[in-house]
Amino acid sequence: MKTELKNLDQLLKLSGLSSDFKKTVILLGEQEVSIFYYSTLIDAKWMQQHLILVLQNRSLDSEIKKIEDIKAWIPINDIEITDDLTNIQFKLLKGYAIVQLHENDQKCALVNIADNHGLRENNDTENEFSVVGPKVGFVEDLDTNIGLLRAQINLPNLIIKEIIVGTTSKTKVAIIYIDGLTNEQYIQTVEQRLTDIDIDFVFDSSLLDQMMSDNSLTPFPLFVSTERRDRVVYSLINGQVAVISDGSPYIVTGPSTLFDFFISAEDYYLPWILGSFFRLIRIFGVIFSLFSTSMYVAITTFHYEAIPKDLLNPLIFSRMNVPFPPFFEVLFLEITIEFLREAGARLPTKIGQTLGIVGGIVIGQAAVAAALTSNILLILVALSALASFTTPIYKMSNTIRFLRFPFIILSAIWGGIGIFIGVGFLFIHMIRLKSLGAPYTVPIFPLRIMSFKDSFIRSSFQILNKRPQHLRPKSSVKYLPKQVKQKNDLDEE
Amino acid sequence: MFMRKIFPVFILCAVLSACADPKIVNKICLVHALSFDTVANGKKSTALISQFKEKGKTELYVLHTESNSNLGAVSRLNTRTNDPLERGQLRMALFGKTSAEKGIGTEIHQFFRNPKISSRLQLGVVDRDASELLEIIKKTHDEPFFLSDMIEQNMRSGNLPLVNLHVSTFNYYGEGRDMFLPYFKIDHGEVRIDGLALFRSDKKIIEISMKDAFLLKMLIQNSKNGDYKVPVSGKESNKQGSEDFIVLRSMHSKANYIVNKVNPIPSISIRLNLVTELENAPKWVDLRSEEQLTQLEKTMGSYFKKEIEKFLSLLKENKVDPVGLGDLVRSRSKEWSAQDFEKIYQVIETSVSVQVKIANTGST
Amino acid sequence: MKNPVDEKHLISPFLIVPLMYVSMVGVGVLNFQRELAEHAGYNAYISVVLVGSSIHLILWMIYKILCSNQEGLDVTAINTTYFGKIAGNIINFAIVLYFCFGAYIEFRAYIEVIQLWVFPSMKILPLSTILVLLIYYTVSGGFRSVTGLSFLGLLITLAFILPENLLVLPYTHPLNLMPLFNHSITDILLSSKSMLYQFMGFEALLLFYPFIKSPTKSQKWAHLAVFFITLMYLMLIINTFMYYSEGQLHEIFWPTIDMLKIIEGPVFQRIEYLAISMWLIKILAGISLGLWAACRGMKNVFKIKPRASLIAFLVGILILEYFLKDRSIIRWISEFYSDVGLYFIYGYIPIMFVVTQLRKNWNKG
Repeated sequence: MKTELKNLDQLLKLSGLSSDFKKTVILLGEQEVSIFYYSTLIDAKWMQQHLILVLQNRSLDSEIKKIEDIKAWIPINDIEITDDLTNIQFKLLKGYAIVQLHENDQKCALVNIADNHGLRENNDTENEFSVVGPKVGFVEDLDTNIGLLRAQINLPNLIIKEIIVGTTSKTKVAIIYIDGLTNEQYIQTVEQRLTDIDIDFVFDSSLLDQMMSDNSLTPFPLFVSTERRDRVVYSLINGQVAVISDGSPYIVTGPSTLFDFFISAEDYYLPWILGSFFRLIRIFGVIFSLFSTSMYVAITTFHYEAIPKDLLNPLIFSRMNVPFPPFFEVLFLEITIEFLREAGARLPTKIGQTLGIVGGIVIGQAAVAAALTSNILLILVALSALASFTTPIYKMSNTIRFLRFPFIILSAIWGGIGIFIGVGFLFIHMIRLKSLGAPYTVPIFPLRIMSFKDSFIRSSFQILNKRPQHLRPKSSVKYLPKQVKQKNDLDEE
Repeated sequence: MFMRKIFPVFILCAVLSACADPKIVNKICLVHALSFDTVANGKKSTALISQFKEKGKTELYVLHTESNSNLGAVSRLNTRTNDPLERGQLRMALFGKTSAEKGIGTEIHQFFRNPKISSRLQLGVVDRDASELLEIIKKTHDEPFFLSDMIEQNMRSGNLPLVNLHVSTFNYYGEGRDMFLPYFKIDHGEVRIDGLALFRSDKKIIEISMKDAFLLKMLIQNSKNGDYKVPVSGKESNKQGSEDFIVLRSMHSKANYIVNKVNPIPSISIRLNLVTELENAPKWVDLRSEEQLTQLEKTMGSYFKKEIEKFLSLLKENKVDPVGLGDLVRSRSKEWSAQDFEKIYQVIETSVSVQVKIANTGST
Repeated sequence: MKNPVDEKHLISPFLIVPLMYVSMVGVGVLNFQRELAEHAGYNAYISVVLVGSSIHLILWMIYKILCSNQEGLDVTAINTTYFGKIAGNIINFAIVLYFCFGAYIEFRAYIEVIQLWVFPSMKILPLSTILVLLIYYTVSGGFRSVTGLSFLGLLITLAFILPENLLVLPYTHPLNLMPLFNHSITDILLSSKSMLYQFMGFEALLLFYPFIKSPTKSQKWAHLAVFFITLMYLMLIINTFMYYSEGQLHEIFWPTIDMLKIIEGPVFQRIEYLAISMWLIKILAGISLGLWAACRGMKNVFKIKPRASLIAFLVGILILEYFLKDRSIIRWISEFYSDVGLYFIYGYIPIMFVVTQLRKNWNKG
């Protein structure tokens, strides 16, 4: 998208919508010199010592008549005097400061006071790992995070609005969006909901997520929260709104749809056929994880005639001496796995490894040997627990782990019919969900065929040149696809 | 206010307390085969059930019960086991000789109406009491599906035409067709399939051998993998009375039926196309020469024609119609009634022509 | 005239396809073949084609009734406009009862299928209660969630009807269909009467018409839906006739499910229980649509809140369910309902069509 900026004033006005765009006016004798900069991109101490102080000292004995004099005054090498708007815009977003002598001057000086931000020693993303691709993650400091974002999105349209949330904590919370791209309805909704929050302490952005969400009675996460920079950038350029809170490395982006939780950054770094394949495996894994144990309960409890004749012996034999009905067996194993998971997350690392082995392998084997469960079921439960973690966003895997239990209970009461009653409830629940006012199950319902190209599969970049329609962005073309090459006949150049 | 809170709790209690009837898979006794016999004072039913005691091994048990009717056999058999008997995995139903001759209509109807019984149930007739067969299975094999697998395997790669509960009821209830079922014979304590038993309505009339079963298979469906022996006499074999055989394996066959005339006496011409593979040929046949192969094809064709005509006259004599000629005539006539057709079945004209093609002759 | 319904409750025009599908295809598709073959024998597929084409005509009439008048009104308003407040409201109330009964009959028929095929000795009340809760949850989400459930129902049943027809083909005998045309026209018409019951249900269109964005565009989608449903019934009936012999068909009460018994694979067999469970979603969508239409009618006629009338209808269904256990009464009710439906579709709608066209011409002139 192109931004039509005609002169410096428009640029300054556009940038002024962001909270981190600061203007300092210093008095040099009788002149007022304005300095504009992005506070999150510069080194503040440097600016004060080598720019403002120097100017103020110099102004005591001489006057600045034209802007070119600044070059002689300031002890910084990288100063440019220009009125080329593209250059100014570019350098401003790289951490340069604009020094404007008089208002409405078109020529200005660009002074380099950028800072390579002190990233955390190790700000690799811990919980969202990808094999290929950048591993840059956010830290707990708001300004650093905003600096990280600005370093990647070099647009003055990237607007950052800061508000204060929390009566005791007075946490700085920033709303980020791209002006001219994101639909204003979403921005207004987010702003309104955030300002309406009445809470004393904001610990983490996930608190904001829950306060902002449309429906608090749902196990489904309504906003994607991520630590990865490339993911947030992708959401922003698609037309979503991001919310950062000071003190939390997780950024909340919305509005999200169900499929956003199955998208991983790696899908875009691998060729599209592989990316689509992995996405399909993920979705299949989730469906398997939801239904496999409940199908087991339904078939072994009510529908014995559905077992193929070659499976009869292994299946019945594996349940031969188990004293409980399948429902209790499954519950026992599922709860064991939940215990393992909860305990494993809280154990110190050294003990965690050993206990993991003890829990996983020994308990499993012992349970089968003691004929408390069957080995076929053990495999099923272990596989489905594993499959529930294939979703890239952690919140969704929690939801899936939780959702398994109602299905198991329903299938123990009514067998196959119970499972589909559960499916009915689940589907209606998902249809009624809205994230920031946008429907949650797009593109399945409301049906949008065009949006299917980035849901179950990831199409090639030639097809993905438009932004997702359901976010209603103001400009929908991202880039023009390459012209298809002329197909030559065999053996012809 | 109180009522509004209590009401959902009541609903939940009502909901959770009543389950459907659970049939937990290791607490039921699966019946794999049922057999029906007619004995002196009534009817006898036998069930073959299995207990999976060890991995890979199953123990089979046979239960008997006698009464004056076959209906309710399973509930009577229930009085002999500690787990409830379930028929959902029933794969084989057998009828003893006398039972088959007296009529098996009620039992078939019972199976047909039961929603829990698969359409792929195999039915069979035994040359003596069917319960003996089940006892033999119990003693000599430890596989509960032995009989049904035997039938299915012979259908896939042998001479038996496709048969199961659905096909049998299709033939039984359909007008202008008659049922046929596999026929088991017990030989020195071992069981084998000895052809088909042909029925008129629900009573067994005659049996035919596996050779004729292949002919039936060719007539009603695409016979794949069946084999047949054709005698052929060579110019060089001078000994009298000794014949050489060609063994052929059918790869593909198609039967075309043309109804030439419907009233008053129907006339049907059957054209059979058979594509075969030579499994075994006498040494004096030169398999590379085109002439000899064509000669062989002609011999085989005329032999088949003779055999099929013999077979059809056997059917007409006994007034059984497994091929479905009645149905064929019905589809081409404006008005047709099953009783009228039965009267003229013996005198309908059929003419057969068979064309055999040898697709490949083996590697030597 | 402005559409009385808010913009955000509207649905896209092509989403009328799952709505039509779900309202027309009910439990009947599981057992229509037997009754159909009673009169016209194995020539009954002609009845299917006949009824399908007549439904196209009726659908066209419905569109003419609804859109040639003031914009976007539904049948309740049209009735009061043309027949006066009292008479119009009586007709509207009759229509509301019609939809209610349709929903009840579908519910009962499906419970019968479950009792026969899946759980013979199950107590009905708990299952009915939870189904009623699910219906309440659906309908209280508004028209959008009813449409969503219908969409899921369409997808799910397609996923099992199409493979069923294909997998059954190796066992079919095309000879069964011959001879073509050896039954009289009366027989074929009598079969058409029983076939009509399978196509009934699309009258819900009369009530959800104002909920469609750009309703005139939806007309071609509605005709497409009817065409597709006719094709589906045709395919099913031809497959059934080829699979079963005529005598066999007389003995089977639920041919569509029975055909599933022959399908077998390495990991699955006897998938009827799965098919019946999947059918649950479609049945619930159909019942929700009928109840939604009834509640909307109550709101328009008596100004009763839809939620209250929904609860009343659902409780009524539960009570009827519990007390009416006699099969013969249920048969009688279904027959009565199909007769009423016959008069509704072939009587009331053409009359309304004529009335509205006359009024339009009178207004013009």
